[in-house]
Amino acid sequence: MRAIALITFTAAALSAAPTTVIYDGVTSNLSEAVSEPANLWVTLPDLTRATRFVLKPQGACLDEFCVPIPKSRSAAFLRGEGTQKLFNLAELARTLKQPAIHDDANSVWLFGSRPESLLEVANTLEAPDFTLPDWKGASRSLHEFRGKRVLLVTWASW
Amino acid sequence: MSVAEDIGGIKDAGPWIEKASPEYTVLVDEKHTVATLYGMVNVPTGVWIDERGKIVRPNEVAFIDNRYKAMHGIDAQPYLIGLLDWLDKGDKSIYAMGADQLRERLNQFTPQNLLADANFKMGQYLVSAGHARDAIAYFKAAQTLRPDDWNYKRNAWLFADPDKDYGTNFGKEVKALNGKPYYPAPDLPKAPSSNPHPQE
Repeated sequence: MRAIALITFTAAALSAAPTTVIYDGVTSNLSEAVSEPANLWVTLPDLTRATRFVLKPQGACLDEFCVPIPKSRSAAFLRGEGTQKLFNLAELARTLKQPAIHDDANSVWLFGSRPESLLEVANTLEAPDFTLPDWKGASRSLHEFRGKRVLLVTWASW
Repeated sequence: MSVAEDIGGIKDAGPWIEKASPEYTVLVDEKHTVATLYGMVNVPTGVWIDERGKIVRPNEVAFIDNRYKAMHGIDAQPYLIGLLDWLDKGDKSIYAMGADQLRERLNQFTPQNLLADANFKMGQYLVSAGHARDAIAYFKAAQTLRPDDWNYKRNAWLFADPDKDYGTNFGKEVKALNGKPYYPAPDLPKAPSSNPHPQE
């Protein structure tokens, strides 16, 4: 049993490689992640660094929102032990119906928008907030304009 | 609040902003964050947001004038009249959309559209990381998954040769519309007569 576990783990460790992860628009460079065609295994510290999700007894949590990990599905989400524990970010994405695509030539995984966060707009009718640089480089947010009527207009050089 | 949906960032959008010398807020949106959040598919797109941060009118073509009307057929005036009316009257304006109509409009976040957007964002990342050739496959995937999205086509073409790499260009795509509108016309309520001396 032990020998098999050791070989399996070593095989996984051999395929750990630097990987760029883009999640919620934030780009993180992970020094070690295991990329498979349908799975992305990251360390727990990297999970939090790249996505702000934290693994807790209740499951994978982002602030107050938690995705439970039932025992029957734990093998799909987790492998390894202790400090070598790895979390499958692609499985989390599937659970949240979040698109996940990867470009192996450039070692990039990109996770698209979570549907439930966008669908909230239709529930609340609240204009989604955003923070972007202005043309002089200063950071500006939509919420700064509370108290005023705003015409938001997008345009482009093209 | 004016937002440039330009993968090329200040390099591409800057010259236009400088020319305008704006006193209002102009932001640079390399990742098309705003287009994603609001489900926008073309430019210029206008959204009205009230003092409490609520959407009043979502995603409509918003030109200041009719410089391109020969191409797209939409008169800018009615939208501008509506905008001024809302700025004056707020909630009481007939141009403020009701909750039901708003909910009908805010319905484009389908799994296919989200996958299209993820592909576009991969393309955007690869361009920004210096891999514009590798980006093409992802831009193509986005365009195939969401063919009515003009942002996906037009910003992508900037980083390749449209004819050689995409087998098309703006002129060809517009022709392919074959009568379908380039912009859906805003669904504005009929304005009450502003003529102080009606004939009847």
